[in-house]
Amino acid sequence: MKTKQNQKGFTLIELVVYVAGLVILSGVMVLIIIQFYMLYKEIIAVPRADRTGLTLVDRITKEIRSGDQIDTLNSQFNTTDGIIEFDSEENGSTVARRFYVENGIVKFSENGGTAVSLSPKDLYVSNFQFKLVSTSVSQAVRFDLELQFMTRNGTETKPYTGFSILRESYE
Amino acid sequence: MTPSFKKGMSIVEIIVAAAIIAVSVIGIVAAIQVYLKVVYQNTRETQAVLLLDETAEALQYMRDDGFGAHIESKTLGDTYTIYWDGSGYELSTSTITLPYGMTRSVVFSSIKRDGNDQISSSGSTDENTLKAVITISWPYKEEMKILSSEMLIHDMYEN
Repeated sequence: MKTKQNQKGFTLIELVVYVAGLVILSGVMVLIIIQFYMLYKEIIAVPRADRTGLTLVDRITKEIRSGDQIDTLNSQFNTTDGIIEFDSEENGSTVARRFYVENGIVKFSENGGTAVSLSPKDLYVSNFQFKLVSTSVSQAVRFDLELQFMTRNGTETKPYTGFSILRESYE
Repeated sequence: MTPSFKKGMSIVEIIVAAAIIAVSVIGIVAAIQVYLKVVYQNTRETQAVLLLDETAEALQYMRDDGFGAHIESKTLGDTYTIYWDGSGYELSTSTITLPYGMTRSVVFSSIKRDGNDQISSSGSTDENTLKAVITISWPYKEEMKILSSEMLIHDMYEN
């Protein structure tokens, strides 16, 4: 920005205007950064947990609903690391389906085969609970799920719930 | 930038450039905010569908468990909500607010059947069937969003 003529240069007013503009601009940038930082929880963590939680509830309640009967021997009810195993009729043959939680990750397996993870590693499943509800005519399962994740305010927990009556349990 | 030392960026050019950058940054932030609102709203709608689903399932459970005690004993036209009491679902007139300010309500009404036993607007009241209107509502932009559905509950197990 320097010129060879020493008489030329920035006037004081130009400098003041420049510095003022720079201050305003940096102020705006700082505000934007602060806003983003404050919204981080809303932007990433919470919607992600919601999506995962709602998808898990949807999947598990629908699978249970299509089930014939609950395998009460291989299931674990009323604990935070519950297991649900049930038989479903599919194309004339019986399929044993199993949902359980291992190291805070929801797993699913069919007929004792290889387990598939249904939830991401960084969302800790702190509650995975099934309650068996029986009426004189039908069998139902209430499903409670809790996801734990880190935010700048510490650990946050979000609950999700589903309920399904086994359609084939009606006599 | 030219080799001539007399040339350079004037303060006006810098201000204009800074203004363009500022305007585009503000535009990007506004676009991100719109996206976030859509994601938020979308998630609430998915949640509402699942709440509706759970409510319908709970009503069916109550029919299975005892139509008379759970459902027939309720006042027609009153607003109820469902809640889990630890071992089963119950209906209550108190307001229960779920996360994100979501609420769900169930209102029962009677139905009429004509001479051919078909549901119609006139005829004799069916004592064993009730219509339940389930409504899920949640706040969004100073107003309430609503998802509603209705189902018929028949005392098919005569309990």
